[in-house]
Amino acid sequence: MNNSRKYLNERANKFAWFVIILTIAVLVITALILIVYLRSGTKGKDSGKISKKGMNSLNYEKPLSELPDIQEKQKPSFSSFNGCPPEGDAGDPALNRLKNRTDEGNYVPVDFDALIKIQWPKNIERRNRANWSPKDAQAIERYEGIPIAVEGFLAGAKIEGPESCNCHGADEEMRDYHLWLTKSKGEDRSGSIVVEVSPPLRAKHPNWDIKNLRKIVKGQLEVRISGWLLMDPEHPDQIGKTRGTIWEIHPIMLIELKENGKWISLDNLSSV
Amino acid sequence: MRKAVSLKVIFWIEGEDLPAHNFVETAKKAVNDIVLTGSKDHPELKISIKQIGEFRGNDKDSFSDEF
Repeated sequence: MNNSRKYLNERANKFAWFVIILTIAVLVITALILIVYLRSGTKGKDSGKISKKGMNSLNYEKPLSELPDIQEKQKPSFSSFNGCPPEGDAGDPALNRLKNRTDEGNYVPVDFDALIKIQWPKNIERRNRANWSPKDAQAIERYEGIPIAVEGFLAGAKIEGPESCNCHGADEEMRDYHLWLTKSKGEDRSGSIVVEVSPPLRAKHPNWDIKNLRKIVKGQLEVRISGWLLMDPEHPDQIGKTRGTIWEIHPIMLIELKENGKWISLDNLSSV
Repeated sequence: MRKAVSLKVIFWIEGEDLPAHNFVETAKKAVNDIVLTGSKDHPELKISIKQIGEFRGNDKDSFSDEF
C-alpha cells in the first residue's frame, strides 16, 4: 500500500516538474517571439515603411533622410474654385487635378536632400500622364502624393502667369505663386525645389500674400513648407538653372516660420 | 534673292470665357485667323503658320522683372 502511494507521489512530482518546465519553455519562446516581432517593427519604421495610420507616430523633430514608403496613400479630394473645375480648362487634366487638391495630410518631415535625390523615368518628361507607360507611372506613384514637410529658405516668390490648372484665369486670385525653396540661406535657385501656392488654398490663407512671401525671401527667414509631393514633368530643361528637380511640393498646405526655435504658422503671425 | 525667316512671336490674349471652356483652343483659332487675314495686306510675302501652341514659359524667362 505504502509502496503504491510512494509510487503515485513520485509520478505526481514528475508530472508537476514537467508542467513547470513546459510553462517556463512556453514563456521563454513567447518572449523570444515578442522580441523578434518588436525588433522587426522598429526596423520597418527606420526604413520609412509606414502605413497611413502610422504617420502620426513619427518623430517630427527629426526629418527623415529618405522618403517614407507609404503603402496606402490618402486619396486626394478636390473642389471647383470660382467655377474652375479641378481638371482645369486644358493641358493634362490628371496633373491639374493633383495641383488643385485641397485635402490636409499628416506631413512627414524629410531632409531637403531626400527630395532632391529622387529620380524619375526620362520618358515621362513633357508628356501627359495618359501617355506614360504603366511601368513609368508606377515609378512615379511610389513617391507622388506623399505629404511632406521640408525646411529651408526661399530664394524667390513670383506670381505665375495664367495656367490650364487655373482655367487660364487672368486675375491674380486665379494664379499660382511660385516659390523656390533652397537648402541654405542665400543660395541661388539652381538647386532649389519649386513649391507652389494654388489659388484655392491662398483664398483660405490671407497671410500667404505675395508681399509677405517676398519679405520672407528678402529677410532669408527659415521656413518649413508642408504639402503634397507632385511630379510636374513640364520643365526638365530648367534643372541646374532655376530648379534642382522637377519634383515639387504642390500644393503647399502649410507655411511655417522659425521663431525662437519654434515653428509658427504664417497664418498666426500678425506681421512678417 | 529669295529669302525666308522663321519668327517666334509670343501673343498675350485675354478675353471673357466660361471657366471650364478650353481657352487655349479659342486663342489658337483667333491667332490663326489674325495671321491669315493680316497676310492678305502683304501679297509679296508667303506667310504660313508652322506651329501654334501655348507658351508655358519657364521660370527664367518670367522671373527677372518681378523679383
